[in-house]
Amino acid sequence: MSGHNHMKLSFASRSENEAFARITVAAFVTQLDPTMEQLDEIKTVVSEAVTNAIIHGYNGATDGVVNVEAEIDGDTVLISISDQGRGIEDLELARQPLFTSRPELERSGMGFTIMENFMDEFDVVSSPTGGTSLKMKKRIESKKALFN
Amino acid sequence: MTRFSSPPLCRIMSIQTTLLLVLSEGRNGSAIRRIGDDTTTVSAESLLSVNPAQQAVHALKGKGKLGMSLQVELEQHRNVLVVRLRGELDHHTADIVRFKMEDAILRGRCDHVVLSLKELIFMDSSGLGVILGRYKLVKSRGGKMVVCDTQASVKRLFELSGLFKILSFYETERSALASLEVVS
Ligand SMILES: Nc1ncnc2c1ncn2[C@@H]1O[C@H](COP(=O)(O)OP(=O)(O)OP(=O)(O)O)[C@@H](O)[C@H]1O
Ligand SMILES: [Mg+2]
Repeated sequence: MSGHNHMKLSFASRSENEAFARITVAAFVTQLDPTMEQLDEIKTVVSEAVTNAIIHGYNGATDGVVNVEAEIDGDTVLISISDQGRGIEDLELARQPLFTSRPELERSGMGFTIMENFMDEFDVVSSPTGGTSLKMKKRIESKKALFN
Repeated sequence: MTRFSSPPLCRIMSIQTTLLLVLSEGRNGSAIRRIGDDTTTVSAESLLSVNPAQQAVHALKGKGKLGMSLQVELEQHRNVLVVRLRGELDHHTADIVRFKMEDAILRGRCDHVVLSLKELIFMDSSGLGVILGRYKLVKSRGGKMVVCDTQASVKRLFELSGLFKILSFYETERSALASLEVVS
């Protein structure tokens, strides 16, 4: 498949929606004919970002809104995930492997490391008033292209 | 070409074997004691679905009905607690794993834990956190926790996080149990 396609989800900051979000994005991305491994990576990344929005952005409150957008541009998928939560004070520190502000919740500080590892491009913007917004890109080489 | 490979028949067979094991516990004597499980929710249908949209529907239906898409099965072999996780381990389902394992470890007479992950099809950092937390608990009580039968995607996360170096990994439940029999 080539060309352009896009989708948008907006949902309550409830943990039930973590599975909903990752499954929906994965289903959208299947039109690029990804491998199982690539799909697993995309599911994991969406799960990390949405979980961060719920736990850290909204501090567990269920009346926040999480936005997920996915866009297909040729063989590349762009995923944007944002919240209007409290934001990240020190982005450098937050992105360090094993850094977590919530060890008491058994967080291990691996979310950003996983996202950066599984995607080709990764960008975060955050502010205390505007919340947090992630933009990520991944190229999906089609299996068909590999076999032909 | 199908995008999702259907699970091999042996995977479904193994669920039936497990169910049989659970059902026949009485006759197996006291070596195997089942503590609790939610195994009834595993349907061959959901494991066989090859179409992503269908798979999504199955996953979501599972959630609606049960309020969770993860099953925890606990079984005790002498002083070893075997914990089998099936489904998807994320922030939403981590609580049930934390609660059930904590309860079994603190109440039961087990020293060691085998975490059996053959049917765990999804895990994210929330899973790493809950597993690391239980590892610390077991270790603080002088026991060992080992992991077996991990799928490639789950194993990759263990590797990425460095947990692979802390925990011992085995191919099968049998070899994991055998390793602990030597310890105890
Ligand atoms: N959407 C967000 N809003 C506010 N703070 C965030 C957000 N996402 C991440 N953070 C901050 O960045 C830190 C690091 O995030 P990361 O996902 O790497 O680790 P974690 O969520 O703490 O642990 P883990 O992801 O391993 O469970 C968090 O502890 C939190 O302080
Ligand atoms: Mg995180």
